[in-house]
Amino acid sequence: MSNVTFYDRVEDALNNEQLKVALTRTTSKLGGLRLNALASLPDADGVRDRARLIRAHTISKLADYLEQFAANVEKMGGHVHFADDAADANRIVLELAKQYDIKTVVKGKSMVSEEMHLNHEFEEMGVTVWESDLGERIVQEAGEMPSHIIAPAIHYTREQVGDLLHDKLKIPLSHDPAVIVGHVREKLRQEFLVADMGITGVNFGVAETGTIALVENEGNGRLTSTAPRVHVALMGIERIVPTLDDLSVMLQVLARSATGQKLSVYTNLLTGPRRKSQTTGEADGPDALHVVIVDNGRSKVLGTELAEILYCIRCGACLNACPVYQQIGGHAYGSVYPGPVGAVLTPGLRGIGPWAELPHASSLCGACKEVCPVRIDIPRMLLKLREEGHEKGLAPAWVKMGLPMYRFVATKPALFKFAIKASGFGARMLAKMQGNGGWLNKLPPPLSGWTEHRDFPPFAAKSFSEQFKNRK
Amino acid sequence: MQDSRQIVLDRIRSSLKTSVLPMARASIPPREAAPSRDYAAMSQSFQRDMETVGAKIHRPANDFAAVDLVVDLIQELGGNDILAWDDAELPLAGLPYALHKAGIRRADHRIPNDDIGRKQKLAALGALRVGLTGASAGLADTGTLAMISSPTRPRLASLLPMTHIALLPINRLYPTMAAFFAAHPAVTQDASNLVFISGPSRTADIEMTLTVGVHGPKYIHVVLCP
Amino acid sequence: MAQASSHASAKPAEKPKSVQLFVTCMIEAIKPEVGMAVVTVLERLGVQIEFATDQTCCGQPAFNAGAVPDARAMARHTLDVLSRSASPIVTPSGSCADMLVHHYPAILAADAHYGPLAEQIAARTYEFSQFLVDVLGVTQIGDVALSASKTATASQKVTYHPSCHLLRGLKVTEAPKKLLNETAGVEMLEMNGATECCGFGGLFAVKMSDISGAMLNRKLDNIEATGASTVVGCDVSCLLHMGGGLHRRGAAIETKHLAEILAQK
Repeated sequence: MSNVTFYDRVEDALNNEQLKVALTRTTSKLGGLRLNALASLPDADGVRDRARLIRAHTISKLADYLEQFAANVEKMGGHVHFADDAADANRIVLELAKQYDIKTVVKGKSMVSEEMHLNHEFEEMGVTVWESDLGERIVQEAGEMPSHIIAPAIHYTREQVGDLLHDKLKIPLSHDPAVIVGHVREKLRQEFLVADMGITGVNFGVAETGTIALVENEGNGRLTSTAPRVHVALMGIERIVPTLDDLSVMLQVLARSATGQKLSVYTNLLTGPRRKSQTTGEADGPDALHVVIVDNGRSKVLGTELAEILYCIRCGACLNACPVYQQIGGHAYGSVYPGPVGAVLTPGLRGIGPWAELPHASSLCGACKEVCPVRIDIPRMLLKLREEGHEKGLAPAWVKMGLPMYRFVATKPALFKFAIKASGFGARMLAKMQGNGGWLNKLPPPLSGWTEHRDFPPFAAKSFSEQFKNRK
Repeated sequence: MQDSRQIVLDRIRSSLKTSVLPMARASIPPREAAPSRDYAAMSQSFQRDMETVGAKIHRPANDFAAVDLVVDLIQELGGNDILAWDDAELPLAGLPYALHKAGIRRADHRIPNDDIGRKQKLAALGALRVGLTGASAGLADTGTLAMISSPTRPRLASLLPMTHIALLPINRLYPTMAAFFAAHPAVTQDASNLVFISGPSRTADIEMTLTVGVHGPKYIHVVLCP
Repeated sequence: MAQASSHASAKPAEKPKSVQLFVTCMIEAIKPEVGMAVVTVLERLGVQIEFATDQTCCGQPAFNAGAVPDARAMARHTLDVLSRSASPIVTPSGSCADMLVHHYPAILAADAHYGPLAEQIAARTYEFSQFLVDVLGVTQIGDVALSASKTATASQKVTYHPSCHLLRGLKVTEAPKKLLNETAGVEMLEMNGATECCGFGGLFAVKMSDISGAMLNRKLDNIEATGASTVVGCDVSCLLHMGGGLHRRGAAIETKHLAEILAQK
């Protein structure tokens, strides 16, 4: 990470008019679609409660379920690799690429691969990587990171997408999404059919069967896990459900919360590689399946009061609902996971030190908790991280100095009354100088933040205590 | 490296000792039994949801009408060569003969084991315009087709061509995915791929504008066979 | 885990004759007229007001800043003050009520004395509109006790901003709207994005001023689009924030606490 601070990125985002247009169009639309989709589910609250129970139970027995899952993947002919961190995961995938003599890779959407910066590693090695999810491909061609968990190019307008893909993919210029998509289909079809390895993420791993569930709409996930001879699936350690029945519950809330669909277009359940047994074997599918189970900080988070964030099923609903995300978009967060979930997950996985601002980038309005399909209490954990940051002395100096003073005053009623009188007196003097009818339009630092965007009203001449005492 | 597995699992176990996990229970309570299968209601619900996402539903009166309908559809689309499941997998007895009579040829769909053969075969199949399949099941509450892979049921038939025609016997409808799993508990053990398909391939990655036919079929015809 | 309002079971058997007013530091220092309006409304409803003059601040700013030990100190002081009387506690702020009801028990859970005390106080603490509707059963402001409001002549166009901690913390969604709808002379106008945060968030408005300001602007656009002359809320802090923004814009829209509307003559 460079010297660019969170505040710099926020300023850039807030000054980006195109981003504002794109975010307003998309987040409000997704929010509305979600509400309609949940309304189509009989007893949506009951299903969400059950989904939460399933996630909580699974995480509480995570090691057992992971062992069961790994054993079943292997029983069905797949290979399982555990990766301690991102470097370990990269090493495993690159070794597989060498082992299978891979020249080209086609990739489906995978947030874990973003954590690993896998594309960069492949490029260093001389392997060509093609992102196949349209949104991921757009940000890949732009040399950027995704700005939303499920809609990576949410920050782009159609005009920007048309120009970019015309330039990079050499497809005919158009600003009509349908026409652009038609050209992209032809172009990427050639990549799917010649790629040696397909890499995808994993939405859920089913412990009882060793099945990988991969949820998508475009068909790129199907092609990536079917056409190339080797399929590598990257999953975080927490992405487990115990049974197929549990999977069906999670799928009832995932697409509804993410895109407002009852079910995504394609729910791929992949159990082992193409069957080779008997006389003929299956008609198609990959000859080899490798599942890479990535920790990369998660097991550390599991031991803390932030463990609940591991219930997350990556639907992105909290991003769409968050009034802060709606203003600044995903890139301002500076991390792989943006929005409310990212503001908990990133400091959790990587340590609070460089990420101390993220838990403060919230008004604690609670919209994230309200929309979360598994009811994760994100505000509770943001507060927990603020506490950790405070304990480690990461707060600004004026907060660190101000708080003990404030505590001292607020626990001594007489002093408290005096402080209010003194503040009122000071505020009135200042307001008089500013000549704004008693309102303050400029406060000194650190309170100047307030008056950058709003005035401060006059203090009362007589406090409530005085008025109450003297009434009638 | 095998030892990463032990490192990660050990760390998870040690972290679980101090975890704060709201709502964690020792087990998950059992669910109510799935609703019974009312075929008329299920067909209606399936049709409504499939049509909502842009698929075309056909409900021919009998097998003869169904066969004619499928042959006409393929000929309209100009697909003399199609990517199809094997005869035995198509739940319409007269269809293979009718296809033969109409001059519609089924491509050999078996992907060879060698790398060069694999890519050549993929390129050839990728040029076909129509895919014809049966369906292992239909889910009524979401408008979803289930396809289970096998030697005679290639995954690619419902994936590569621009148009996918699926034949779904009404008696393979289930009210929900949970009911389907309950009826077929070993479904994932028999095949490497079970895919649930809920409409044409689509994306909303450009300004949330819904656009169909991204990488999979743009047109889906479901023939509900009586 | 506090899914439903924590008062579902704690509702007193009979209507209380007196309540303790926890007035909040914002009202004490900046908007005492809101506190006086609360007194007026409750007294008209026949409820006596107890007011402990040694109350200060609930400690939420410290809590939200992550300074939990400081917040605990203020919580202990507040609990000492409020536990001297057995009367229910009424506070004209969704946010401070949420602090008392949900966060005090959490941050004092390990405290042998104040932990149980926090639970007891939480069980008898109510936000103003919640107390009126859920405890007193007031659904109509035109009834005997509040008949004064019925004499209001000019039709007043208002819009309601549900503050976040009242809405999502205490889950009080209907009570304020019900009261406004039943008030004679008041016309309620729906606001787009009503449930969106105004961007206040305590120190957030100072530390993350630009983001907060962008949120505020969206909220103010929505308020102006309603055509209302008054924005009504149940949290003085959010009202100060919106009022400060409206004043900066030069908009002729005033901000009022629900109690001020109900107390109008």
